[in-house]
Amino acid sequence: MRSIDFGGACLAVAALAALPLLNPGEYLLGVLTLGLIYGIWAAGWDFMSGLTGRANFGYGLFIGLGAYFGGFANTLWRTDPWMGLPIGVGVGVIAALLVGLPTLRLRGPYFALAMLAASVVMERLVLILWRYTGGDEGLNDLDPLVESHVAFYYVALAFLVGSAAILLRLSHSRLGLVLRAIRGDEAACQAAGLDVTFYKIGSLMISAAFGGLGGVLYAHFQLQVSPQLFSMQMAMAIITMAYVGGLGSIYGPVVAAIVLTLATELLRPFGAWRLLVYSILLIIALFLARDGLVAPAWQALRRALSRGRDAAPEPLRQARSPGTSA
Amino acid sequence: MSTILRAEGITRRFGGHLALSDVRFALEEGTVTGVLGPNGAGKTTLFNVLSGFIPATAGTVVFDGQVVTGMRSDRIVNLGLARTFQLPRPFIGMTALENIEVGCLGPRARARARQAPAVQAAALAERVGLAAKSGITVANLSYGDLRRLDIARALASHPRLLLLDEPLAGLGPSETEPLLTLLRQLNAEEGLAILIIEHKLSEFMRLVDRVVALDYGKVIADGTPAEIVRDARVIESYLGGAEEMEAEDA
Repeated sequence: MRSIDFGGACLAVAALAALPLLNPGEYLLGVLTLGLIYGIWAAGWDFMSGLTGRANFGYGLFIGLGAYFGGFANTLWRTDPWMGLPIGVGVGVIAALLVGLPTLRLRGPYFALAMLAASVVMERLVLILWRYTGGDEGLNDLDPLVESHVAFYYVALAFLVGSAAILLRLSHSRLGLVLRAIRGDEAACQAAGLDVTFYKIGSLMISAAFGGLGGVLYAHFQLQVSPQLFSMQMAMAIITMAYVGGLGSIYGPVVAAIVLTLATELLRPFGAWRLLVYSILLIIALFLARDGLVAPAWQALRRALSRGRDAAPEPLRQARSPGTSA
Repeated sequence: MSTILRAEGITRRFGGHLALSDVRFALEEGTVTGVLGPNGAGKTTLFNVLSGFIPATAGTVVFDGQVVTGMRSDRIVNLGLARTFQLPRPFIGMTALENIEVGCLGPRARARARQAPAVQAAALAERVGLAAKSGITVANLSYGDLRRLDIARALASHPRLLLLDEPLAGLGPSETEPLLTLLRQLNAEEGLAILIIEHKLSEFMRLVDRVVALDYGKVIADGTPAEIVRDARVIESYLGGAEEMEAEDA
């Protein structure tokens, strides 16, 4: 079974890597690059919120902080644009610790509300402190990470693949098992001797690292940083991607992020109507397909594939793992 | 024998309701003690206080020479005081084995383990008789299996005292006997001390060495099963003055 997953992932990455060779044009390549960055965010959001079941409406906080501090590093402190990446990750992780410490030890809506409030407050603060942040105009004239758009596409793809690989690996590790157990029953986790708060804060910090990372990438992609990154709409778009992809699967949200970014950009001629698409998709995902669309579709395909493969040599098949029998 | 747990004047108030009032008793190491009492006597509240799931309004719990009142519940588990719940609380969507493995990931379990958590979990599944079902998701397990699962998960932390809240409730006779055998084995072979709430009286009385009887949040009697069934206050509160319990001669 695992080999099918790996094969599917390789195929998807190969397809994404081959796309620029088809000469899609600068606009479409830009949209795809944006989709890859959204993929990092959707995977990062999913790791904490999908696995532990704690919805995070303020993910924009980590994205915005990452982007702004990456931007400050580049425009104010004149550091190398690549230096912004660890700075953005670090700032995101610290913000997660500061919000998580007081709120994740409590049950109830405190975490969701605090995250939402923190991102809204930051969005306002950026406007109030316009002297330093540029207010509505944001930070401008950032240096690009790499020279060409195609090269940046590959940089974003590499970071997405790396992020998704790390998060997938973690979600199937013991840490992931504990996080899924927390989603199921916190009290039972405590009865198993697990420090639930520690795991929740830790997973939020991991989640935030990828929010900050994507934020810095985004800043150097647009060469500009604006307060909208902190907005609720930003978080809602990512939450929609995670739900449509299938919560807790990591790869589902990544695929959904790319597809939905493409879809909404292609719907741009419809103006404000395109936001309706997000809302409708979220409603569909919530009411009709509670496990999302991407992950269940892949599971079904995987079953069909493994059935097809196992059908022929069935009488001979002894080994349990396909790796040894193949 | 030395004392493993001492309850010193535990009081718990829910608003105007006094759920536990100055409860005092001590448990010896390696013994099986039962908590007896009618519904609403405060038995589950007592378990919740002992295991740190709810704070005591007053009083102290001393476990293994250490005051554990006010301590976080997972820390108490890691001192060696584990519990199960009145209703089994499995992690939905996981297999039986994964459920037990979660229990093997706590600090105490890891410090004492000589094998990987998955191996340990498999051994525990074997111990409670779930080996054949370890790959099944919990949604497809019977009620009795879920009880065993809860116990296996609690055992993963290598407890010295296990609090069992009605482990036999909802089990048929074919499931009851194996579970009782398991509990006796754990007590006899591993020296595990057990504090148990159970309404199936004949099984209860045959299992326990000693009974603490509660009513209206107060300890009304404390003694051997034989003494308890003759205690006038216990008979009045628990049996409402009904005939003698059949377990008397057990």
